[in-house]
Amino acid sequence: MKQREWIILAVAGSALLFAGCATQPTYPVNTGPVDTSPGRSTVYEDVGSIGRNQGIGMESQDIASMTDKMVGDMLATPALAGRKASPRVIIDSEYFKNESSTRINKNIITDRLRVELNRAANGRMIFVGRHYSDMVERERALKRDAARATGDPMVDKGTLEATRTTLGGDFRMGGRITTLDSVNSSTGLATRMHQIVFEMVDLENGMIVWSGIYDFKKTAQDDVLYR
Amino acid sequence: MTCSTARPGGRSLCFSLRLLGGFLAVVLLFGCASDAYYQEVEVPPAEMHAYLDDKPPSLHPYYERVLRQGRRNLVLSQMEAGLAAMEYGAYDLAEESFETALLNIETVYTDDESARRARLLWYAEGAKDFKGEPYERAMAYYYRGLLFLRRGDYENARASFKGGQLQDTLAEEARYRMDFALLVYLEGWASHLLGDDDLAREAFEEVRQIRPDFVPPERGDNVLLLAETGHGPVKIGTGAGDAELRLVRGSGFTEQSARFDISGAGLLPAYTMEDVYWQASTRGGRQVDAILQGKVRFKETHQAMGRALTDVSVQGLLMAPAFGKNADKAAIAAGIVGILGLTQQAVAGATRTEADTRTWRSLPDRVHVLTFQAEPRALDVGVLFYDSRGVELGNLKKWVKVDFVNRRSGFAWVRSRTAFIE
Repeated sequence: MKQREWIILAVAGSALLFAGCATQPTYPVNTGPVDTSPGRSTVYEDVGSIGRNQGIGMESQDIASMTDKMVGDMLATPALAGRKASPRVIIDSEYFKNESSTRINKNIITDRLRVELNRAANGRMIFVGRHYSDMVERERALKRDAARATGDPMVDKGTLEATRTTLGGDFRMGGRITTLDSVNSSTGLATRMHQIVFEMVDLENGMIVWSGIYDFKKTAQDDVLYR
Repeated sequence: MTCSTARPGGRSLCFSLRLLGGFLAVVLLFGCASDAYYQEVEVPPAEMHAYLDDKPPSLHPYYERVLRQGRRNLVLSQMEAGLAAMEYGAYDLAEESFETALLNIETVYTDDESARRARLLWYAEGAKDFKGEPYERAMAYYYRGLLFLRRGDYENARASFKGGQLQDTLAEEARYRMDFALLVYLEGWASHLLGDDDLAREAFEEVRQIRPDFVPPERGDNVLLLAETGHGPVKIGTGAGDAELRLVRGSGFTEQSARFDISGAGLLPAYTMEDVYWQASTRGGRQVDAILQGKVRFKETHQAMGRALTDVSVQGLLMAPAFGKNADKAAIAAGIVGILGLTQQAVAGATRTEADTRTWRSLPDRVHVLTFQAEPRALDVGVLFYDSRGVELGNLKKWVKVDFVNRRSGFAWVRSRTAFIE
């Protein structure tokens, strides 16, 4: 073959090569449907930091900030933390309602609130574990009720002083999670505003002795392929 | 075959043959290369065994797919596996599947590799991670909500139904936005069970605006029965380059309505609350359609130019001998033009314009509801299905057990067609 023919063939070869490149992915083979990246080792992240997987729902940093703020606020309220006799407080999710569009286990909020408050209150409040009442009653029954065979209680009294009754609460926490959602149909921009209200209620007269509100708003726009 | 140069113009013929060979090679290359990159993941048997070990054998094909089809189809695989698990009665597994699907649906994709890739010319829309069309996403919220209802977690059930409604906000025409009556109704039902009467009333009023003949549940109703009929919509790619996504009603069924045979109450008609096909087909245009149309235009332009150049090239090659002593030069020029034409056609051939037609295949066509009041005790309900003329389809009759939770609310869910597809 003469030089010119070689040139033609070289050009044709280049064209084929180009065509081939156009068909095949430019990244390593088979990564189309399959993530072949080597993976990522587990890392601990601060619960107060912004997560890598984000949406417009409630995330760990929201819960951490919310409970921190509420604890500080409650401890600064004399009607709760400044009483002569430490008030008995019930904090659980029984009266904490979720009316929002966010699926959540409410206990993650109320548990964190109770634990942080208990640690920070340093005796200025006494926390009643109403959510453990079944457990307490069962043990009290074992200590007090006589077994059929012997006539003695099934277990001894333990080392704590026996009380005639368990603690009654002075205050109980209630609240509500609500959301306001909007989606811009032309841009797909989604916005969700969360409002979380916490209230401490006097269990004798129903007075709300403390209220706290925490709100945040998130906006996100999914990739155009999903709009 | 050898190229003879004994006669005038023989060298040009040689070029022609070589170029023809090159052209065939290009065609062959493209023919073989299509769809090569949608292959499944090779999962080591031990890993697969460990993953399937705690799952019922009849669900194994669905959960195998979760691993084998990888991230690209994770949401779809979990949707189909979750619904099969729900029908099987493996509720914990179904909850896990739908929760995984929803977490991925709710993750906002920004700067994502699979999404970036799907926008490129060389990849079809189907290269992206599947999240489903809005009706499919809404149905995933629906099933997640039902599983919460069944468990007695009415608040999270309500949150799921509300979340599903948000998926229905992207319809092109305003009148079709937020008209997913089934989800609004179930939001109202969850509020009803929670004793949030104001919220329930608001939701039922909203349903009445969408379905004027709807009658809200009675105050004392505590049992919800749901019957699903038919097969869900099917996606097909139509138009130039299959770039236009079209939804057609599912086929292979005739049932249109349902009645519940309740001991002591007789045969009660269920209210047809939702037409899933209607929800799917009223979505209108998608923003991604503009990208696909752009790809189609690119492809068509390059195809036309490529074809024109190759035509010119072929003519040039045929006429080259007429140039006498300059025949070689003419053939070379024609060959170069031909290569350019082939290259352009190759680029056009490699451009992937198809719309993503992956479909949640086990969805129903319609959903029917009925509420009534009953004591929370063992209760079996007969479910009868009817065609459009009101003729009972005896072969589809089912019995379903009502599950009571929290010693107050009952729930039963039944399908005329199985969620076990294939």
